[in-house]
Amino acid sequence: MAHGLQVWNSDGRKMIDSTELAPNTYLANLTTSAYSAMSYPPSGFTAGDLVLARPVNNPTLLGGTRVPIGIGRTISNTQQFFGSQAIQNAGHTEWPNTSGIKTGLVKTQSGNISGPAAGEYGLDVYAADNSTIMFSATRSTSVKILAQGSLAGGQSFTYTPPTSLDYNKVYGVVNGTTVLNVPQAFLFPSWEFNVMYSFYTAASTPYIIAQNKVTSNNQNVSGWLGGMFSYMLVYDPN
Amino acid sequence: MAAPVSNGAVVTDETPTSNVHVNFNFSNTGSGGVLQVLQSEQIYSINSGFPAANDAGWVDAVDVNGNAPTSGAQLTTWSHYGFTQARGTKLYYYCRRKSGSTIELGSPYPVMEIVPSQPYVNDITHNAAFTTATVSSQVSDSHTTLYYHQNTTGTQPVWEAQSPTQTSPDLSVWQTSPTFSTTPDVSYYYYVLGWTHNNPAEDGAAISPAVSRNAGDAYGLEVWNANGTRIISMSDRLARFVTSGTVVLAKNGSTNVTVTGMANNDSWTVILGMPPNLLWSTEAQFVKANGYIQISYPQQTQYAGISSPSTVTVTYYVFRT
Repeated sequence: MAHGLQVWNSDGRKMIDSTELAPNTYLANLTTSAYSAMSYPPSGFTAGDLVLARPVNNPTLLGGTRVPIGIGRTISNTQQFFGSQAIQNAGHTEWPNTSGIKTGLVKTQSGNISGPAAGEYGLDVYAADNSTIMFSATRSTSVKILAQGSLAGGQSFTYTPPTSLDYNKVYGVVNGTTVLNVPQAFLFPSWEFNVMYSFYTAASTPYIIAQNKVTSNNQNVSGWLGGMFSYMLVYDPN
Repeated sequence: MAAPVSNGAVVTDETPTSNVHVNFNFSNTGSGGVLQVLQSEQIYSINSGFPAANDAGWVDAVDVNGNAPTSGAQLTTWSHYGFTQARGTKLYYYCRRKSGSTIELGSPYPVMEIVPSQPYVNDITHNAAFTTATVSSQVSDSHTTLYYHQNTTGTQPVWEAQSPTQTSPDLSVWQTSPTFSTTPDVSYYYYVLGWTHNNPAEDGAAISPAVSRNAGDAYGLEVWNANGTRIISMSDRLARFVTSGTVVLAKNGSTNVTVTGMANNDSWTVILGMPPNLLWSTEAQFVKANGYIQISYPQQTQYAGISSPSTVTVTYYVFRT
């Protein structure tokens, strides 16, 4: 490169590249939503944002072990997180997440980093257009990727955060999730759509399972190949 | 009555990390009375009188649909469905035919199943010259033996036993030592395998997720923000936004989205967002190709009770990580 800055991490992965067009991301709109206000996407969402979600710090548990996190049903033309009160009020007998949910948004930094204050010290990285600030050592709020990958139908992935991290600051990217339990109706069997994260918050070493499983009558479905679920677990270091 | 004959207990799904389902298999289900099965932590000889005839653990054998077996030799293995076993444990499985107070014990007596613990790579450390790497991993049970693998491609090595008679992992692929030779400044991927020796089946293995690490220290940057929080260090993996958008796909259709520089490797991440009220839309798939991503909506077999919209809106997000 003729000018600019590139930084690689210890795995050989590129972290910052000033030849790209404002590619870095920042964390915004961290909030806790009550059981009665778990609509999706959360407030502040704009097209292109990644939506982060996790349980509250001391949640009620499904089966005494876990909290399912994902996008649930659409009620009155508004999507809901799985477990919301709106789903219960609509008459669906799915598990209620009465503790509520913590959410955040990962946004691209394009046009969103202000210039330095007068007399400010630190490091700012400008894009090749010589005006867009891509990274600021004093004003950036990026998230770290802990694990990411793609799951085919029937697959799951377990991630146990190291004890050096605060488990309560680990989030799943939920844009590609679907959590639904469709009960049996007449001759039609039940269906369980579990393309989601499960946070095992009460385990002695808390962990998270990302899974892409669709079952009928709680059994695997012959011939069902499933779609692709790209999971991403991120950490808020801020 | 004729005694049942088992041909082993096997794990049916290796992916759960805490408890796994175990099928208790039979080549001959015997005849007369009712076929019953029992799971126990204890091993007993056939003439010991244990497990007791009235042990509460005896249950009627049923298949996945809740049906009892037909009698006698089975053309294909018949499986009792319903047992689960925790990882890192050894359990014993007993069978019998029972009619009133008359009991015919099955064979082998008992069947043993060992399920390995799920291993993880806890840490990777290098020597000062970055010519060796040592993988740190441990499990807490006495049944699981750990093996280690290193490569530069990130391709998951063969890890499951390839036959019922295989007693060790392929030692041309796996090694018992956690220490590997490395070339400075080269990136490697590391795996740990949990293996149960003397396990009378081909399913006694569990592999860790891959962890990559570069054998060097010539990289990196540490950055603290104005609040004194370290927001970036050289060990972090960050996401760099590339593009996002929306496409509308017809059933069994696909579309190509041009993404400059896109390649089918793990530095590129694609996430699909779909409206969950359209159940069939969970079928959306993508392929990473040189210069574009192909997003498709392949309808497979029609299933009862599932709606199948003629078109579906899919939002895509592309990152480099």
